[in-house]
Amino acid sequence: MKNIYLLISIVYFSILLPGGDSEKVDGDYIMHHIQDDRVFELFNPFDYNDANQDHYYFTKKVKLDHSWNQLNNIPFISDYLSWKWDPSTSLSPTDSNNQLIFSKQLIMILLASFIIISLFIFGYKKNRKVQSGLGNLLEVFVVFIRDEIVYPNMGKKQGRKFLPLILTFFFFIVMLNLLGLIPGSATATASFSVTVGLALITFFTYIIFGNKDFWKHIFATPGVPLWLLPIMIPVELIGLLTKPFALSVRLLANMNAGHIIILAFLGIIINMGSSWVALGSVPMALAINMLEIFVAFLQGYIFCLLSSIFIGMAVMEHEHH
Amino acid sequence: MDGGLIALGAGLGAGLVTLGAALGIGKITAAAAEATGRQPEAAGDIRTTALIMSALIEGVALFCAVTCFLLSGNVG
Repeated sequence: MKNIYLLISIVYFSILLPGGDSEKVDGDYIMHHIQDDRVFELFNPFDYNDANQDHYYFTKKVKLDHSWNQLNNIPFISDYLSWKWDPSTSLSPTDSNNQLIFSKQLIMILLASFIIISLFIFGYKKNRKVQSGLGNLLEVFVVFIRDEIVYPNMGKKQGRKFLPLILTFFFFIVMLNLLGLIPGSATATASFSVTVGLALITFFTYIIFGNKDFWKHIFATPGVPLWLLPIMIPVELIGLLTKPFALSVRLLANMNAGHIIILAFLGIIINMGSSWVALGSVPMALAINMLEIFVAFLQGYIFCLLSSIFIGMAVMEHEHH
Repeated sequence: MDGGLIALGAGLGAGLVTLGAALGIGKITAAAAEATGRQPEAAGDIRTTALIMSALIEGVALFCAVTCFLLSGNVG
């Protein structure tokens, strides 16, 4: 055990990256690896001389293009299917109608939903009063959200109505964030579409389920003289709109920032051109990765907390002052 | 001349925002540590509050980071 550090150093420097190419890790490279893409780049340890000619060493690129399209081979249904698979692998979709676009992030979303559903189906045993094993672990999270986030902010009666929504938010966001930390996969919450979609769900919830008191507070704030109302009403309306904006941008920016930092640290090795940089760079990237696991849970918790505060403000009955 | 100024603005903005966020979170941590020292049995509540507020401050800091990213796309 005393020579473990010598062993680790030998392993680091015995894998020499082929030097000499002019490829640098700059802003475009990092942006390309964070955004949505139609190509999965998986680690293939046998590709040391780029035998599959995809211009990257040690990778296997899996293109999500029309060769995955087996929908046309289903005997009877394919005549009635109006969704046709988009044949290109470029990021922007083609201009035809009827397209079904499968990209990295969509597969991550489907995978996360599948994992959550199977976790709950196989973890929760209906006949027992006290869960054990996987059910016990899931119950820790569910009870934590119910007792610390939903019921204090929404009361018991209204809280029971909105509890499934907040639980879905939490498990969905945490599972997507954690899946994005696996090397080679994409983070679905690092795109505008997913975060704005989730924030819009909260927005429409508190617009649709808002009380009369809530709307009265916006359009006729009590205790405000009449001549001040033309200023107060636009301010209150903008306040309504900034809440989902802040929710979505917070989640998006946190997820993107973590991946950018990891890629930047590991890219310093390639930019400097020598392998000795890995001694300092890889432990820092490892530390940031550990922080990202914590941030994944924290951002899910913050999203659920703020959503339940906003919905609670809209549906709770206040006693009149 | 334009590209240089845009790059300067983006870099300076990102640095200033980091400064602001670090100052804010540092103040929260100092207050939390002192409060825990005064009353150790409230440590759990204090830790929860400090964590939530730090995440909110970090959210604000990342708004500006997003702005700087958008700016740096216009360089060149």
